[in-house]
Amino acid sequence: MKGILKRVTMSLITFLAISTGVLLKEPATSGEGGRPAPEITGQTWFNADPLRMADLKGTLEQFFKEFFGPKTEIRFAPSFYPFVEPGAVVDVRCFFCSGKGCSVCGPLSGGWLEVLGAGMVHPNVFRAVGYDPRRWTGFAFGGGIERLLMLRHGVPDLRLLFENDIRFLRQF
Amino acid sequence: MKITWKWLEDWVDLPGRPEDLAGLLAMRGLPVQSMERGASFDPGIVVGSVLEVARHPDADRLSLCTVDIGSARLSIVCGAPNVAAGQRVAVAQVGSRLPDGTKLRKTKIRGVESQGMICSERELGLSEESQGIWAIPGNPPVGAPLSSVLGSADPVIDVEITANRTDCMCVAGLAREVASARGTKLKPAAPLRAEGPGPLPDVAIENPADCPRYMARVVRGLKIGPSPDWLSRRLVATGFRSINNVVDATNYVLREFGQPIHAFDATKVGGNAIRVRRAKAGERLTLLDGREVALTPSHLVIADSKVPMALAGVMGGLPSGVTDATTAVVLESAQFDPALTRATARSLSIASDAADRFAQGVDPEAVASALDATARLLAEVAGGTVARERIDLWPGRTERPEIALSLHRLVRLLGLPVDKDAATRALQSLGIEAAAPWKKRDGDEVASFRVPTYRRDLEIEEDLIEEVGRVIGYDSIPGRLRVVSTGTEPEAGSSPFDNHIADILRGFGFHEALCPALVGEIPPEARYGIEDSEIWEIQNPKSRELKHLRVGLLPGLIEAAGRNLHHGIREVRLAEIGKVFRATPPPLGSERHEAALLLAGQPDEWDRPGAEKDRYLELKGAVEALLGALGIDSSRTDAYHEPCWKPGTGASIRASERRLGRLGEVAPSLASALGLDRPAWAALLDVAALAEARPGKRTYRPIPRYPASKRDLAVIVPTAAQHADLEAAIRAAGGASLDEVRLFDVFEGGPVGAGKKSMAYALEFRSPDRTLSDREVDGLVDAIVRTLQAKFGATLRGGTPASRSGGAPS
Repeated sequence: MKGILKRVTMSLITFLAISTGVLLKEPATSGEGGRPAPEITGQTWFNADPLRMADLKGTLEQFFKEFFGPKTEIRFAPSFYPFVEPGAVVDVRCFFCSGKGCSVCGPLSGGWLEVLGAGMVHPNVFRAVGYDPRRWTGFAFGGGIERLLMLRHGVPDLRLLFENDIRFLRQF
Repeated sequence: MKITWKWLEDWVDLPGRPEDLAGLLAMRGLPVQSMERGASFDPGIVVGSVLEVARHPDADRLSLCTVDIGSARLSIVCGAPNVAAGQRVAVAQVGSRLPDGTKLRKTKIRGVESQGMICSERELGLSEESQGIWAIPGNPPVGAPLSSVLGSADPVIDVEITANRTDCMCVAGLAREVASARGTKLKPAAPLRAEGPGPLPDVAIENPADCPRYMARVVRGLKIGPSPDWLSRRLVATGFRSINNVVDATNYVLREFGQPIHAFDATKVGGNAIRVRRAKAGERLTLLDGREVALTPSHLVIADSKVPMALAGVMGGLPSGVTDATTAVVLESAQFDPALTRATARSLSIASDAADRFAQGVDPEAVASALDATARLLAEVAGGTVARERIDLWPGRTERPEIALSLHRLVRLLGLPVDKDAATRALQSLGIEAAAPWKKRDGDEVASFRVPTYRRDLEIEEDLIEEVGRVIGYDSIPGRLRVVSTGTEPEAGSSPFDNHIADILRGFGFHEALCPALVGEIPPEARYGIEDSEIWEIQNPKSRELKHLRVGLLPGLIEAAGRNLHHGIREVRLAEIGKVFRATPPPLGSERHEAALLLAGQPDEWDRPGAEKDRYLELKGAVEALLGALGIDSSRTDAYHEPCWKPGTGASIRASERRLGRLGEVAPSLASALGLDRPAWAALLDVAALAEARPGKRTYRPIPRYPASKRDLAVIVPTAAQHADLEAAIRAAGGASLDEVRLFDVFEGGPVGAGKKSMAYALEFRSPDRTLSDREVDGLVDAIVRTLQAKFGATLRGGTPASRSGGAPS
C-alpha cells in the first residue's frame, strides 16, 4: 500500500484502491486458525470535497446490494481497528432467517451477520505516509472474501472451499 | 469478558430480555458472544430431596441416605457429616459425569451398594474447597437437572471487548455503557461503614513515577472461611476459582472495577510501615506461588520497614500473605507504572491477572472506589470492622485531558447533521464533560471536553467524534453514494492472465482447485530439487500440517485427486493456478505463479484394461491446446526426468528454447505417499514463462491461394523414438513446402513387433505461389522417408505413402 501511495501525486484529488490477496498469517479472528485467508481491502482517499462516514456507508450499501441482491440491508455498529477512527463493523441482514435469528447468525445477533470491518482513515495513517490529515479524508474497509462467498452462495462450511471435492467444484 | 446478568443488574437497570441487552451492547461496539444460562452440568446430575439418613451398618462415619430424585428413590452412601433429612442436594446418578470428567459407577462401599453420589460444591466445580455436601439453597424442584436450576438463577454473559476499551473489562465499565445507552444512571453503591479504630500503617512512595497513587485500608476482626454461595458462584461463573472469603473479595472487586487489590496480613507488616520502593540488589522474596525470586533495582516492591513483602502489581509474597489464621488485613489499592509492571512480570516470567491489568493501566479514580468496595465486602463476608481512616497518597495526580471538538468537523466526518446540544448530551452520557462551552470561531463552533480518567483511549478529536456517533447511533448516519470518475490502474501482478488460463482450462473440462499454501512435510519427490534451506518454514506452526509454504502445486492436486477418487468420483481433471514460494533470495524470498493440471481415474467410456495409459496423450493434448489458445504455436517436449515422475515418462515443454513447464506420469511413490493409489498424470507450467512466450500481437498471414497436397506417412520406429525428434526431422527433410505435420496415430504390439511402435503422420505440402505437382511432392516424401530411415531406423508401414483425397485448399 505504501508503495502505491508514493506514486500518487498531490495534484490528484481522488485515490481509490482495491486489493485482494491471500493472508498467510494466522487470522486472529477465524476459528479455522492458521489457514490462509483470502482478503479484500479497499481505500478511498480524497483531498477535495471531504469524505464522510455517510459516503462509506452508501458505497458499501451499493456494493452489497449488487453483490447479494437489491433487498440487502446493511448495518454499521461501532468497532475498533487501530487504523480507522471512527471504526465500524459492517453487518448484513441474515439471508437465511430474514433477520429472525438462526444458527448461522446466532441467537443474540438480532439477525445480523458480520461481513466487513470499516471506518474513516485514522489521521496517523495519513501522517505515516506524509499526507496532511487536515487536507485528506478517506475511508477504508476490509474483510474475508471467503465469508462473502459463503454467504452469497449459501456454502455452510468454510472447509468445502479448500477440499477441492469435484462434486462441489462442478456446482460453480 | 464474562459477567453475570444479576451482577450487572446490581449496577444498572437492564432491559427485560437478554436479546435486547445483546442488541444494545452490539450497537455500542460491545458485541455479546454468548449468553449461557449458568454453569452446565451433565444432565444426569439432578436435584434430590434427602428423605432419610440412617447409620451405615458397617461404618460409623458413613451414612446411608434415601434420596428422592423424582423418577426414583436412590439409596446412597454418604460420608459427609452435614447431610440431613429435608435437604435439597445435587445427586450425580450412576453413569453421569462430574465436571472434572469422573464417570460415576455403581459401587459398594463397605458392603453396601451406593446408587449415586451426593455432591459437594468442590465436586461440582463450584468452589475450590467445601466442607461436606452442598445443601442447595431455596427450594428447587426435585428431579430437575442441576444445570437448569443453577442456570436459571443467573445467566452468564460473555462480551467481546475490543483492544481500545480496557475500561469495559469490568462490571462497572459495562454498566456505564448500559446506563448511557438506556439514558439512566448507575445505581448507588452500598455505603461503607468504616468505624473501627486505627492505627494505619505509615506509607511512603519512593518515586511517584513508579506509583502515581497508593491507597490502603485496614480491616480487623475478620474470620477467614469459605465465601457465601452468591459470591463464590459469581466468581466461578466468570472464570475465577473460589478460594476463601478474603481472596474471593479481592477477585470480586477486580472483576467489578478492573482494579487489582492486594491483602497483607496486618500483623506481618514489619514496623507497621509500607514503602513503595525499588528492590535493593541481593534482596529476595518468596512469592505466593512458592517461588523464590532474586530482586534487582529494576523491580518495584512493596516493602515493610525492612524487607520486601510483595512484587508491586505482580504478585504478593508468601510471608506477608493471608493465611487461615489471619484476623486483620491491610488492603492495598494502587496505580503502578504500566511499563514497569510489564517489565517486572516479564523479567521474572510471572503471569498474573493483576500484572495484566496494571500493564494495561488502571483508572486512578477507581483505585479509591475499588478499595472502599473491598473493605465493605470484607466486612460483609468475613465479619471484619473497617478502620475509620484510609491512606491516600496521590503524588502522580494529573489533570484530566481536554480535547477540542469542532462542530463542523463532527458533522463533516460523520455525514450526520448533529447540533451542538445533541453532541454535548451524547458526550455527557459517557461521563465526558464540557470543559469550555461552545464558541463561535471562523464560521465554526468549537468546544472543549474533559475526558474521564477511565477513558484513556480518547486522545484526539476523531475519538470524540466516534463517541458522538456511537451514542447517537451509526444507524442514523444516512448512506450517500458518491460517484467519481477515475482512471484505473490494475496492479502489475498477473492475476488477469491467471484467470485467462483458468478459463481456458475450464473450457477443456478441468475443475479449478484451490489448495492451501501452507502445507506439512513436502515429499522429497515433489521438491523439484529445492534444498531444505530454500523452503520457507513457519516458526511455531499451529500444527504440523501448516509448517511450510508450498514450493509447487503438485502435492495439493494429488491429495485432492485421491480424496475425490475415494469419494467414488470416476474421473478427476483438476487444475490450479496459484503462487508457489521459495526462501531464496534472502531476505524476502521469491514467489512464482504456477499452473498445474492433473488427470486421474478414467471416464466410463474408456473403461477397459490399459486405457489409463491413453491419458498421457490426453494430458499432453490439453497442454498443447492450452499453449495454442495462448497463441504459443510451436512447442516441443523432450524427455526430462525429475523425481516426481515415473521413470521414462517425464518431459519438459519448451517453446523456442524457453522452458514453459514439464509433464509426466506422477511417480507412484509420490502418489501413494499423498493418498492416491491410482496412476495420475500431471503438467506443471510456469505462468511467467507462458506470459513471455505469448506472441505480443498476432499478425495476419495470407490465406493460401493454392491447394495443398496431402500424404499420410506411417513408420515403424523403436519405442524410444520421440515424436518431437521425428517431427523435427520430417520438417527438416520436407523443406519450405511442408506446411503442416500432424501425428494422428500411435500404436504398439501386434504386427509392429516388440520394442517398436507405429507412428502415423498426416503431411500437407503447399507453395504460396503455385500448385505443387505430384512428382515434386512424392520426391519430398521420399526424402523424408530416407531421413527417418537414416536417423531412426524407421521402416515404412503399409507400402508407399498414401495420397489423400481432396486437393482443395483447406
